Amino acid sequence: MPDRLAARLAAELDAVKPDRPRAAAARYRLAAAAHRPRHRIGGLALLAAAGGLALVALATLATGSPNPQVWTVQVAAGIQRLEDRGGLESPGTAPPSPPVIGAPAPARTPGEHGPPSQRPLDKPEPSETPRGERDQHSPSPRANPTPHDTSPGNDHQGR
Amino acid sequence: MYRPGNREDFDRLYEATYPKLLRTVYAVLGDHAAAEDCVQDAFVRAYQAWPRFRPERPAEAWLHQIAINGAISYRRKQRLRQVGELLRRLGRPHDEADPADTVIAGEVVAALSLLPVKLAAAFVLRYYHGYSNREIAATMGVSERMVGLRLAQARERLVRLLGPGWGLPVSSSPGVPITKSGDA
Repeated sequence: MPDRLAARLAAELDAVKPDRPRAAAARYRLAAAAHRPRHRIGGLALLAAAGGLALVALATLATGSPNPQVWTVQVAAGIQRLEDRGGLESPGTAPPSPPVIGAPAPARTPGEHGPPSQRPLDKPEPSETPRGERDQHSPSPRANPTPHDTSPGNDHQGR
Repeated sequence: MYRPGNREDFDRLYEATYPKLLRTVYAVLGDHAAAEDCVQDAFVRAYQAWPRFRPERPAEAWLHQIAINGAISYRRKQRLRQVGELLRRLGRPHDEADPADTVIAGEVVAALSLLPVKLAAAFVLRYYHGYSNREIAATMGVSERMVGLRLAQARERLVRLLGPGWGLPVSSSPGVPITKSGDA
């Protein structure tokens, strides 16, 4: 062990007396402060992304479909439903015009494949048309009785 | 005990270890301003790695490792700068040395700064900070045997630089040239 050398080294290094180190003035603190705004922006972007994902998940759960087109159709249908109930009518707004009420009618044709939520819109339609007219045009089982319905007479005749 | 990622703990670590690191790097580089710069950079790197710090490891040794690596990089860049300056001065009359560039250091520190950083750092850790060979090995990421070799080389080169008046046995092995550190 080089005692003399070590003693001399200790004397030389002990003579180095740095100022009392203050963490507040350290370079790493300044560097961290310089980088902080970036982290803040990153955090905001992360929050926005998380909010967007939550919205997508909610919309998917509410409509049962991950397709955004379905969401818009459902929202439009919901608004329409409210309008039909008069929920959106306010004293200041213009009175609803007849085409607005009748507008969804083409979408309610039985041949079209719409989302399940459009079905409730079909309910008021039969009540608007007269019962007799509906019976004449609709191919209901009553209009064309099956052989089973008319069978009592035939059965008697047969017997 | 320091908690990784905790800023208050890192602040405490900084205030407790800064003087020790400064003296180590000063002994290795022989330049107070450069040592301060290196140590501050070392703390910047350490702060970035602080969340991944393993508490079972001695924090001071971990910081020493970062600071010594920084000193090695500094020495390399310094050598490149010196080569650039030498090329610029080619053909010009020899200038007198600028007193401001003169390293103001003690005799031993001046000699240590001429050694490769790894040898000088091992010497300072062993004979100034009192680390064991095992602790130095863990700090520098080498085997204990390598630490012993480095300490022997450092002693031998220091005696050659300082002269036999220091009372150290001078090794007669011809394989250790006394030149400004090139292998850092």
